[in-house]
Amino acid sequence: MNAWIVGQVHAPKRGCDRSTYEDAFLWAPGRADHRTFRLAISDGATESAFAGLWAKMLVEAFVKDTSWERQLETLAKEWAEQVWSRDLPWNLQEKASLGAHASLLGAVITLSRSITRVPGSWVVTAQIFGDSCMFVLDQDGVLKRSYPYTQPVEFDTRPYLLSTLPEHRQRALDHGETRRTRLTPSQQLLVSTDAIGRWMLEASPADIAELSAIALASDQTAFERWLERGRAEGSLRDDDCTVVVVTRG
Amino acid sequence: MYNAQITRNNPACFLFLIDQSGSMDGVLPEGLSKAAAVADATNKLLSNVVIKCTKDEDLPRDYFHIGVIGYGGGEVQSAFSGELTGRELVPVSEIAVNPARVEQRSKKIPDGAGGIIQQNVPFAVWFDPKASGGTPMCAALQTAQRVVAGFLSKYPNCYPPVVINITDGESTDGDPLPSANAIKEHVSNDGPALLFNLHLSSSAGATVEYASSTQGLTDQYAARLFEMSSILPEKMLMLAQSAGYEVTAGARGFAFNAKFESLVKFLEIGTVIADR
Repeated sequence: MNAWIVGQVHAPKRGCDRSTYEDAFLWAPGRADHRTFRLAISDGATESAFAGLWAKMLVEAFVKDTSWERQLETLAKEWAEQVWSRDLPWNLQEKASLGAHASLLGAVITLSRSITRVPGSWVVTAQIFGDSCMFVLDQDGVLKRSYPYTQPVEFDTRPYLLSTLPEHRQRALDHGETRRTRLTPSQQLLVSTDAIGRWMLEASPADIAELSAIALASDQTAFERWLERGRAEGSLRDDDCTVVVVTRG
Repeated sequence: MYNAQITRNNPACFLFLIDQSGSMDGVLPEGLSKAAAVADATNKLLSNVVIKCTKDEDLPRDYFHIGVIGYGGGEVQSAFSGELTGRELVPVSEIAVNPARVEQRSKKIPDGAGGIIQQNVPFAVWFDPKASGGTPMCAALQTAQRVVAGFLSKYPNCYPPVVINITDGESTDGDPLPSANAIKEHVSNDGPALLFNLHLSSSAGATVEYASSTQGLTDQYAARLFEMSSILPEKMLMLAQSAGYEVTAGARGFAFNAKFESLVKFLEIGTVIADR
């Protein structure tokens, strides 16, 4: 009962090629069985170009480096160098000059050392910028806590996203929040981008349990079937979707 | 209604009807003719939609199909020139690669240190100003009706087509109201097609915008344009409110005696669904 189990599923928008997928996720490779590890999820904003690249850079920075916030300016320069390294048509030049924007939820997950707590309980400390979400679930899919939103309507507001442009980036940093939550050994942490996040706040425990089981098993085929059903029913917005589930083994 | 998600599989449609009658050569206070101002504003709008639909690929994604129909000089026809000549509705990816030409225009931009610098920026041009003859608005609206019907037959679940009519005068081929209403009778599974009307003027008369009733519309022609116009869906209404207009639910996509600045804002509000 000492190992972390991490599963993930992800998919692009309906009918879209995998290359259009602009979410990103990462956890510290090879360290998932240690006492602590870092996990990040990011959603590149559809309205900006090369947002998938920016999202990928953000999750890598968070997972690799505890001082990731100090690296943002350098990261933005690297993004610009990659984007402008080739001749761009007029429309892509104009679009790229508007920068790329992405949410980021970076979590530090730590096995609790407290002797006063239930043995095996764990703590998640998350830095949240924008509308990527995390949820604490009981084994039967009952949603216990959600961050940063608690109501579906909150997804209707325009989130402050981390940007390659300094003025926008600073605004996102100013509006970012750090949330800390403690989980019992039997609870699960589910982290997702916004389309799934909204769905989570409207879904029944049975439906949530189904999704978390699929994600924990990293069953991509089952996830795509599940997505197709939700999109067809209209219960799920057609967007890139990413789910990462963490539990104790 | 007016909630359909706009995707490449379920694109939306913008159709601009541009008055190209002789009176459009009248000069606005900004020094441009009305025809040139409309051409500039519409070219800029096309450019903005292309940029909004551009992602990482060279070609923008086909979230929108766009048409520009000119009417005047006894004709109703596509106003596109160059490779797109004669095309009525064009996916945005084809619009991006087929401007008639790309001009270099001077633009004032912040220098990052509190100052302003002049910089040449590319300005894509898809159609040029024209001004001759009468105002066959009924024929233009009938063409729009045919184009809208064709789009809806391909994309029945689309966000309802948005038709924006920009004119500076009265129809010379009859009462446009029946043809306008016929457009609005075409529906997708997300609601009826939308028709917005803007009357551009170089006179000093007061501008009336986004009225929700004919009360106060003393001009008979203004009342006619009002009747022709659709009620703004919520997202457009909210944008009008945030732009500082005192509008209430029931406000219509309608402007009378509009000046150039109103035209630009009108186009922004009418095409807000491009802000994805």
